[in-house]
Amino acid sequence: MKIYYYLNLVAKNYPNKLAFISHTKKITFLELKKKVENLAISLKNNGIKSQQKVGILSNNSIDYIIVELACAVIDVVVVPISVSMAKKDIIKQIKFTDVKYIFLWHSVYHDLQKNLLKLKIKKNNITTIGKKIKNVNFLDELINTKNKIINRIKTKNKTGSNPFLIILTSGSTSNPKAIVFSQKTKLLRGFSAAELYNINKSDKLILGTPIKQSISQRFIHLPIILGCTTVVMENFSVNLWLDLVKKHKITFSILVASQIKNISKYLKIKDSRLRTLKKLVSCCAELDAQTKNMIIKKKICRDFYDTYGATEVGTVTNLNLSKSPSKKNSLGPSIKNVNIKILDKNNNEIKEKNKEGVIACKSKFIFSYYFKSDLKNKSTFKEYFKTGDIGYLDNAGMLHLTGREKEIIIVGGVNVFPEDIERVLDSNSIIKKSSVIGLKEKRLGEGIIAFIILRKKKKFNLFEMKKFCVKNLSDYQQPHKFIILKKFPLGGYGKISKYKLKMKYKNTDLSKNIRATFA
Amino acid sequence: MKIDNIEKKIIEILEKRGPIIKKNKKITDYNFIENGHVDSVGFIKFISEIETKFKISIPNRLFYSKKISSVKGLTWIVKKLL
Repeated sequence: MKIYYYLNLVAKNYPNKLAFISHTKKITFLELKKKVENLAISLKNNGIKSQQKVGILSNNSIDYIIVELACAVIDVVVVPISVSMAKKDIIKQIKFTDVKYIFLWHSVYHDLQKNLLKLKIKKNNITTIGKKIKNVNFLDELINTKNKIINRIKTKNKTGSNPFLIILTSGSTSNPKAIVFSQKTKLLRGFSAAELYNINKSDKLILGTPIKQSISQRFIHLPIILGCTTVVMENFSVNLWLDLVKKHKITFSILVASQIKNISKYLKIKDSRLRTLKKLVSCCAELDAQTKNMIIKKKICRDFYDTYGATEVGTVTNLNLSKSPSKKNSLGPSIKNVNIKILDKNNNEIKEKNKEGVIACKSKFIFSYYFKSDLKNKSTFKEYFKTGDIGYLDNAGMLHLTGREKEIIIVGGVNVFPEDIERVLDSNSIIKKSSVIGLKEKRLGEGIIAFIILRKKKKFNLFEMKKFCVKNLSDYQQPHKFIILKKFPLGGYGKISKYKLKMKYKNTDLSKNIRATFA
Repeated sequence: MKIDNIEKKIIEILEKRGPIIKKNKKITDYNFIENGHVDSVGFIKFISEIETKFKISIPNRLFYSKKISSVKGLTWIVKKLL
């Protein structure tokens, strides 16, 4: 099961149909196939070998898609990296994943050039996207190089089971958590989505989530396996999304819960801009009850789905809220090819209904492994992957989410590990100890508060702290507020009690510019 | 600092986040919020980048104002605060 097989098929069946549309480009399936093949050959000619790691540091774009598909053709492993991350995190991710060839957005080239050379990435293995830089490879040139025509590009990856994609999360250890997928798994997830949401070749999809998220991959693979069209949003904004849905007569979309929450506020009942939208799926975070009610009331599309899943296992449950509004307090039943168990602390199944424990899933769509880590074995018990979320199954087999096993903050659909931020803050010379929590924030779902204890004789300077955070933390890790404490509240075992901090500061307004207060 | 220099530095910060899609408008009219160039997740860091670049502090009354969302408006704000 390989992407190249389906690319050939779709280019043969629908050569002149548009595969992808963005603001600046349009590409048919035949054009896509030709460009992908040409780039694949150029990469081979540049010495890239099967299973080498290729980093793509880019926003959503058709260029990104061409690079990813070319890598699939020659059995190369793709590592999407976000341009919005802090420079040191970008370098860390490149180093950790052993990237030896990189495509990157032209504006970040000069910032990263020296670091890339230090990582022994040869200059000839760096290619810019978007604009030509003197003496550096340029993607458009590689795509348009006149290569010898080939009938078929052969690789040893016959079943599509080799590693193909590494999705990086920030991770709660000193290294990023790198989740490895094969082409086969990603295609199976695509087929599963097509069946679950009844998507076919006549559908028009819109990609509004960042391409480095696993869920975004569906919007690359669904056109390849079905022959439908994806509109690629370079960036997401509510108005832009609404305009594009109307302009391109979009029929299907998946968005992060916080995006849907923002959209639902703008809409009228049966909003005419969404007339063609048949199905909309919410993912990556829990949708609050108020938003669910608003969506049901405003009838924003024919079928609105709320889902639960994890990058490692894909979609786990799916609920059509439009058809089953009475089940809105749950996340729905497990999807086909996925089984859920609720486990107790000793990994024994809790068979009693309505009793909470750790949510574990057995899935046909499970990831291959964590890169450079045996965490998969530790997280898996008798083929059931433990998600780290707490919940229960009700009498009707519907899943309910009640909490998280680990402290994770979800900022605009992105999982943020407080330890990652605390480690960075603790490295600042004025900070003795920090503790980070997430609190409700109206735009993002959750925002970040950093509590700080200063070292003796050190003074807090908000400007310097902002500068430090810009340099060392990614977009989604930026604290919205700093609170300087003299001591932390402690729990029973003498550890910092985040619960007590949350309770005390739960009404903090995070909607303003970053502030610091002394408590 | 001259207006042109402020604009240039703001555009440089924006370009690091991805392509600027002008839609036949002048670059100064580019609304990076409406175009999702700076989304709600990236807004805090973007403002901090602007503040640290120009050594200013943007007051709360302007934080989510319409003015802050375009190159022209943000340039005006920076100029006023310098």
